[in-house]
Amino acid sequence: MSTCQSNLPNSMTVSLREMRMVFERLLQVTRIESGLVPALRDCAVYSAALGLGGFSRLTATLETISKATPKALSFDGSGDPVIDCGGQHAWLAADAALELAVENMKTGGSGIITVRNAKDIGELKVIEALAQRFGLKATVAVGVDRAAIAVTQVTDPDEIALLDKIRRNGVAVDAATWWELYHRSAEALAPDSYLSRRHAGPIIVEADGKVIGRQDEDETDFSLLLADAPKSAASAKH
Amino acid sequence: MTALRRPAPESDAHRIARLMRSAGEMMAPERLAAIQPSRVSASRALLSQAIRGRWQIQCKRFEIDEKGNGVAEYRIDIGGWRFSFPVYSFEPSPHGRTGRIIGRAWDMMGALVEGDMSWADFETTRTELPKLYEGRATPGTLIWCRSNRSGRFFESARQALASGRQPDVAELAQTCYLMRNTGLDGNGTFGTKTFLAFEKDHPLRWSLAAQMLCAYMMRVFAQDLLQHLVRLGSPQAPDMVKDLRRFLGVGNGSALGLMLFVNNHPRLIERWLFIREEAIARAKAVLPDAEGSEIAKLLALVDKAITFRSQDRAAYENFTRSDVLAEELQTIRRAVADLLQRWQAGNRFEAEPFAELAASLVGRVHAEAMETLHSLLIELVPDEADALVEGLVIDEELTGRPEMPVHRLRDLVRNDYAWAFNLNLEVPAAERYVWYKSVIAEEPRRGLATEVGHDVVNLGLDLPRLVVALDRDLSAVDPNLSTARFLFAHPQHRAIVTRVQALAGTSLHSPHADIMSGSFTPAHITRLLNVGIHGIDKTRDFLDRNLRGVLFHGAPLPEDIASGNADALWFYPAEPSL
Repeated sequence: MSTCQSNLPNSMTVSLREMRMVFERLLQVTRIESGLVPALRDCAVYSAALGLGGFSRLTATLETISKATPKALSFDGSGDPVIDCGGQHAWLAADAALELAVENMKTGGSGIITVRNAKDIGELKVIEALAQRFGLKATVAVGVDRAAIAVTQVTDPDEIALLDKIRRNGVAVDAATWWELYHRSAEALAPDSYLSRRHAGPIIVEADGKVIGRQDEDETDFSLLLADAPKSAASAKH
Repeated sequence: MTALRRPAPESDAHRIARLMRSAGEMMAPERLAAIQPSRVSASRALLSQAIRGRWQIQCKRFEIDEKGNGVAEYRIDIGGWRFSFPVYSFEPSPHGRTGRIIGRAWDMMGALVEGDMSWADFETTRTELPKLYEGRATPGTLIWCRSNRSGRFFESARQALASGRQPDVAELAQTCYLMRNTGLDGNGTFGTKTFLAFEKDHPLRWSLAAQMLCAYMMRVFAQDLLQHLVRLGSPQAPDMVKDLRRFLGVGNGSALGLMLFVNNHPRLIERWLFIREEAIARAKAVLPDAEGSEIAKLLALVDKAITFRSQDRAAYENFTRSDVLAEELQTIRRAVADLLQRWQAGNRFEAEPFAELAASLVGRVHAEAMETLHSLLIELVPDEADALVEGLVIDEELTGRPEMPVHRLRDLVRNDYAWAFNLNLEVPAAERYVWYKSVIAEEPRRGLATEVGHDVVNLGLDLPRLVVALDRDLSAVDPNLSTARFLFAHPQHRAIVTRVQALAGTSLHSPHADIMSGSFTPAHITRLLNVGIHGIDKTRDFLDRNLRGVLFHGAPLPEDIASGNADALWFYPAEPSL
């Protein structure tokens, strides 16, 4: 049986899918480059699952990300590898740092990398979860202004079981926090309008009531489609 | 004469691979749209499993008044597993009614829940279900569903039975259902159980099984509701005859959202297309027995398909008419009959007669007729096909390869996505489309970019432009650079690089199309899902973007399944003669 629970008075459990949907939409609203959205979304998921700031500090993180310059990060691999985040949020460096550490380990290196000058540097802890997708263990030691990431082989399957655990149990969250995020994520959805409603459906109803399409199986309440219709609507392609 | 022998032994794996088609032959949208329902389609696979296991479906209570308001509850026993299907029924209302998900009126809502449902959970679900996006499922809930009556046909059947007559088959055959599914949600949505958290021995573990059982239960409920309402007004009214009950499935409406589903489920698409091809290849490799009984079985199935197409009363817009396909199937029938005659006469020229049969028909018959033959061939290897479906437990997590050199990544891009480089991607901005979701019920929509506006988030995966842009940047860096270092400098490519690397080695995951172009027909991909993967019959097309069809058309009734008397070849039902 699922342990995904329905609402308790102040707390609720949300599924992996729900978290991904809401976090992805919230990130889309920041207008960050779309190619970065899935990676940042999963940073948020794991941050929430690990009890970091994924839920509690998400609003501030999104604000930071909305002003981000991902290319401000720089990498020095001439000696011990170091990433300078240039003040960008830690999530923007998380996947890059992990991947460089994995590459380093798989090509005979130590699997260690240092990240410095990241905003909210404690969030680099998400790398410990992200590494599990590679079947690897990552340890993140966070200092005042830098973090050391070490990637190693796994010795116990439980060390890479976080995703399965989230799938089975979901993640607990304060209900008010969740619903606030959920409702805000709707900003990634398009406003409804007469024109927009013509962009879907088996029939199109013109403002004058003329129907485009077959109605042999249709029992549509036209008022659903005609709300805010202009008096002389221009035909739109579908 | 005996069959020719090949000069060298061939492994089973090589033989099957040789008989499978390539991505280039299959992945154009119009080719994917031609795929027909088969034993590996989810609805048919579910029924195969149910028939084998003699699933027990029982109505525990049915407390619905003459207007349609009330509740019902069913119990489903599958081996040692028990499921509940609570139903909340409502009087049909014309207000807020539509087949689109923006509808606000449903005639029934239900859930598929593990185990016996407690009174408290039944009541909680009654409260939470209508909230949909803001509702929360109780523990053990697999699916939430909702459907509407087909008003005209439901009422017509009700009046006929109430007056002591059987319903008019010709009228019902226009759509072949009493109620139509308008939503099936699970896999974590609304707090439902995540599919990949299903236990290893869970009977609904394979992809789409839980949704399909829920759809089958909607069909069961629709027929029970009809009979119940008839009896409330006319206690002496007859039962609907079983042949007609079997003929009626459950309706389904689908639209643009399935294109987004394909984008987000590349492994499901790839695995499903692959197992279908594998099943077809295994069937093509079958060597008939001396009497040619496998050929005779195929001939009988082709005849069944011809009758089915000839009797089809549905109206189509741009999809090929069934009478045309019936004629095309006659060409196939002649070829199969000829093969049977030759085989029984001892004139056995071919080492792989079914492969030769199929090859001889390629290009001679309509693609949908050809895919009908392919689907029917799968019935020659039922056990293998069933086993392939039950292996469809799919994890869509995509993981990249940071250590991969850029030259290898570029090889993947150029080889796996060669089709993208052959498309004309210079579509004028005025003709570009955007895929988006409305704030109203999150309805997926697709409109011209000029109409939608620049602020709307484009949810469509612009795969060809992403890979072409990636290739351009890959070509400009040191080929020996690692992917990790490339992505550090080009973070905007992270999502597409991960996808390319994670799906490398598979080829059937993405339609070969520019879905942002006006020349793309969304209904093609909706049809792949509805017809091929879900197993929906008689899919009618509307405005090239919406489809309506019938699931479980001809499927056994619960009593057939429980008694062990179900027809395993129940599909393509002939119209009942009453």
